[in-house]
Amino acid sequence: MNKVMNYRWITVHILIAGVLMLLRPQAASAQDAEQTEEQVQTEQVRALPDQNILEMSTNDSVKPPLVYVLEDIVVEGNDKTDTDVIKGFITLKKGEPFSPDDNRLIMARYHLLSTGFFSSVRLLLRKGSERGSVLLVVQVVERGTIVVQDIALGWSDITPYGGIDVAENNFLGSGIHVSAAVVGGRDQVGSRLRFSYPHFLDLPVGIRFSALYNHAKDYFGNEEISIAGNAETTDYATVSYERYGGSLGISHDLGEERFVYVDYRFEALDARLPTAASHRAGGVMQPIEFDIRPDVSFLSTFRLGFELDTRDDLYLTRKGHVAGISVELGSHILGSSYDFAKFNFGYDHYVPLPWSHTIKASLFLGLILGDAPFFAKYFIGDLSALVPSRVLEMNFAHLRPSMLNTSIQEKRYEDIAGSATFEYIIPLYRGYGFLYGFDFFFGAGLIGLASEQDLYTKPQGYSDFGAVPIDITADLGLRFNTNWGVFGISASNFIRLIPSVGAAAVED
Amino acid sequence: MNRIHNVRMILSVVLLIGLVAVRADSGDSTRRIGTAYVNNSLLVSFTFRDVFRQAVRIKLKSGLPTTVVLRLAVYGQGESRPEAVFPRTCQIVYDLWEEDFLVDIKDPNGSIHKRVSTEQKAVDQCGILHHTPVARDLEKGTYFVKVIAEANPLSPELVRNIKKWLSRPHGSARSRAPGENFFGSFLSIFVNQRLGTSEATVIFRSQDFIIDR
Repeated sequence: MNKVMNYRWITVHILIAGVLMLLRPQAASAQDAEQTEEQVQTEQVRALPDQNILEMSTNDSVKPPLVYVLEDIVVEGNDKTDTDVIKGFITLKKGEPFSPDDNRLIMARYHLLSTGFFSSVRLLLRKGSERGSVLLVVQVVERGTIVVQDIALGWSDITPYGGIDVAENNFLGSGIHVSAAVVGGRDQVGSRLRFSYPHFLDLPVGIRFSALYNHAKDYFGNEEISIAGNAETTDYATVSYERYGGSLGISHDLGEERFVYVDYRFEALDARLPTAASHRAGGVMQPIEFDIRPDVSFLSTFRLGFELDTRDDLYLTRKGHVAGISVELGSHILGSSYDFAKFNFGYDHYVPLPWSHTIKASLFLGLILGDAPFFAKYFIGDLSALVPSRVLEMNFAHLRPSMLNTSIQEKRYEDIAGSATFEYIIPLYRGYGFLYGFDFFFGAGLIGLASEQDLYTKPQGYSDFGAVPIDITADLGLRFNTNWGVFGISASNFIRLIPSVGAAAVED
Repeated sequence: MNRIHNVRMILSVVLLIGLVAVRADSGDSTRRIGTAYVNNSLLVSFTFRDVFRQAVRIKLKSGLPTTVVLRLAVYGQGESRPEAVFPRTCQIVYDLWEEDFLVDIKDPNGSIHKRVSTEQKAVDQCGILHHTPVARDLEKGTYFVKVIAEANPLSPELVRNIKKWLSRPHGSARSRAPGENFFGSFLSIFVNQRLGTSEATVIFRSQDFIIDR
């Protein structure tokens, strides 16, 4: 009964976001206004023709457009943020003639606001030292830039665990984004430090760097697990490992909707695993593959990615799509102990319905060729909403999905993954003030997880449909878009809060 | 079984919360406007100077443009589609060296370019319609107009781009593979901002009026 409940873990994953900026849109160009006007005109039934009457005949003589010469840029209100960092967002140059409705001024203001460093950015002009010249004054109000980006709390069949990710978006006023995340559970601790610099040396690229340290365990095997040297069976075979290393990457915007990035990562691994272990999978005893070298090994990879994003709103999306493709290559030529190629493709498409609801269709396909360490493989919890996902690539549970009772319940870390899901989104509220809106959503889909061997050999112990390693995932909940960030709460979050629900399902 | 019951109860609570929707009320108010039908043209007179709220007025002398976009639609009584639509754009720029205001108005009747000496005169130029023709060749009947005036509106394209900058500055493009991001499949770095579509908005409808040719 109730296969959905066939797990025994509790976890709550609270999404907290947020940079607490108070954005007050103030500027708009004549072009913007004309666009609005055009929109009106396209909707109109009938507009009056350009002719006659009354006060239109009282026009003054047409004046030439107002043009100033930029004498200098003055920044006011910045106690913390370096003046040059702020000036770096102004693309007008000293001595350059410009019109007050120059679109670059509007862009500069919003780019400054988008940094998250300021609660207010105001641009104004002052007379310069000579007639016709002006000073461009940038008045900013700085805000606190330390934010909690995410919190993870959980209680699995193995251990309670928790983590937090805190960011400083304007490190020492330099414009560098720094974030630190830690997560811990029984015998496990992980940390990650990240730096990113959006405007590296005034180049059109962003640069980022991360360092990680994981002192972790993972739990292998399904049933009747035997470990060499132990007379009795255990619940799981444990691999203890450390990861030390990091990554360095750059990204570049190809316009407003396309992005490319390249990352290099290097990690030293130190793993302690059983000499040999076996488990019962599909009713047959099989050896356990740990997919990591014992003792010290190295992981060295390059990853190239491309993303296309046309969504109308990143938080409460109504239409558009986002697609991403990436390739990661690890090779002994790079000093890696693991030779593999990993290909990812993801696509989300949002279809607005005439009655204001939205359907989201998602597809993910992943393939690994070669010999990747287990933590770089596709993990069941990252595909299914009903199994806890990893935190900082660390797994704190030993659970399996089994809604369809197929061979996927034997899978944990594999080389081939796919998912096809849909989500139906109902906007329930749009407004002003603290709460900007919230949506109700429900969704379901199919996930698949397989090894390369599954392509050629039917899994033992399963027949017909059961041999196909697929399962169902489903969720429903609410997403709140607030002044403090976006919060998501879903049924799967709640289910994870119920103690021993998995155990109850097993007993049933 | 009790635990299963709890699961169902929680699912029900989530659903219930979702179904308690609070829908925003448009909150349109009614204002009395002057109307006349002359030479087959509907002329209207009214003020919407209140769109120049304090924050907008502060900006008037900044030397940067302030734009007010007016959209007026004429409806027949009981009709959901407008009989006519009248757009109007007004831009005010303070000339730092001449120390006066440039007012630039565009609508289907033509364009006006003026220099006025005071802020109040500039606001009056933008915020008042006086015997302005907004529709022609209307049939006999009862009508009303709806007015939307926005100060410094943002184009949808700009709003969309701003949201992207807010959520994804340079250097933050990420893999879309599940599990590869920071805190698992749920994670997004949300940098949330309220992006209004304008700095100030005035919306109202007129009283009903009769056109009897």
